[in-house]
Amino acid sequence: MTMNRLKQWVLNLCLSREIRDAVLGDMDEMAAAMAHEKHADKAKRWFWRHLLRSLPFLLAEKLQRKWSRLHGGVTRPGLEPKNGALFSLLPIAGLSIGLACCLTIFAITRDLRTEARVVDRGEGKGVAAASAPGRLVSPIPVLSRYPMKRTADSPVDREHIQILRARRLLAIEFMIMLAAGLVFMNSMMANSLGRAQQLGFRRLIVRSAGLAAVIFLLARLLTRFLLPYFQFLFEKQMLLYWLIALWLIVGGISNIVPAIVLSLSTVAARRPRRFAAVYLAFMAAFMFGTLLIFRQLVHLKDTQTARNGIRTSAVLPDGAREGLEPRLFR
Amino acid sequence: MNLLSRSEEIVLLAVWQLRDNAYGVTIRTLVSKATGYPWSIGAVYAPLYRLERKGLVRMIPGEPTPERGGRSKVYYRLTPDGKKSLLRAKRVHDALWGDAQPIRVDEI
Repeated sequence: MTMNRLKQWVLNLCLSREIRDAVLGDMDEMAAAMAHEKHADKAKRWFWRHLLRSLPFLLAEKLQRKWSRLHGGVTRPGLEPKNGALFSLLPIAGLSIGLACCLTIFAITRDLRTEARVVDRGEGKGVAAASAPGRLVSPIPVLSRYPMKRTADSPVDREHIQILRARRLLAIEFMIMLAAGLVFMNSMMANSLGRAQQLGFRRLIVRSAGLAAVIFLLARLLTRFLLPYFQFLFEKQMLLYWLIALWLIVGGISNIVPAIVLSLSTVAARRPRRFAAVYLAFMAAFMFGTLLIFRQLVHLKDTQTARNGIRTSAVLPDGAREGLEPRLFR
Repeated sequence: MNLLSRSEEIVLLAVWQLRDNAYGVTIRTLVSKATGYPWSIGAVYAPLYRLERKGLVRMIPGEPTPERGGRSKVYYRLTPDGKKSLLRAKRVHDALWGDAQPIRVDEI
């Protein structure tokens, strides 16, 4: 007795590919034996009853296999993760220090940037009022108002020196965050590929969230040491939260996504190194693209605020500037 | 190591008993005969998959045969962990039955 197309279709739908042939063959074998022993119609009815009784089990088995592939069955030839305490601590410490440095530099340079947006025009919201001679406020922030190098004939003033130092700090911030982010993503990804098999997908997410929380707390502690008045800025500036959230999201995604993609896609699993390279490039582009957009949005928002004649300065409390200047001019 | 469920234990024992001829149909026939209940083929493959996931049995693909419509069998074999697990299940049964009072049906 051969199964007709409907039976074939139902069984194909409910069977996982690992046991599809075996189960179809078993059904054929049993049906043939039944037809040999009993009447063909009786065998047919038995077959359908048997099929209906089997379907819930077979469907459950298929779903279990799918779920298992999703949160565990990662094949990764040639991409052995490096496990151990050191390899777990390294990326955490790296990103924490990076985030702390970033926040500190961000806090220091923020003072300079807000100086650029101090507007004294007061009245006049229209374009004509904004472009009126004598009242025009340069849209260029203080940071970009000076040339990169001091020339012999350029006036030596404290602001210029401050700006040059702030520029250097921002460049360092960028480099630190680039390095820390890449180290973190790379090692977390290798780690998550290995751990996905041992821990399972759900625990991996919890672990990832835990790591992000640890990194956030470490960065917060370090920042407090690096910048005594950081607490004040932190409360005032909600934008800092956005920056932190962005990094936490990137960290979380970098940990989870490779495990999902590698377990779902056989193409990615076959070439994990190539996938990892493409993924890292994509994530780097995403990170810095988002940062650029973020900065553009901040700039637009502040420009708009400036046009409306609102003072956006006074980020630092009274007296904080005295503490900041010796640090910058050391 | 977790304890085996009842269906897992039965199927694992059937695989051990059938040795080299343990595949879907033979396992189903044996467990149906032993339990007196007609198991469906799905009810055999579900615990087999769980056992496979736990590393207690392993799948061995067989050759295609004409009586199965040219489809190949999948044989199952016990792994060393599977044997340990079976022995452990037997020890649990023996320990519990050993101390238990003999049951007489007429007392119930």
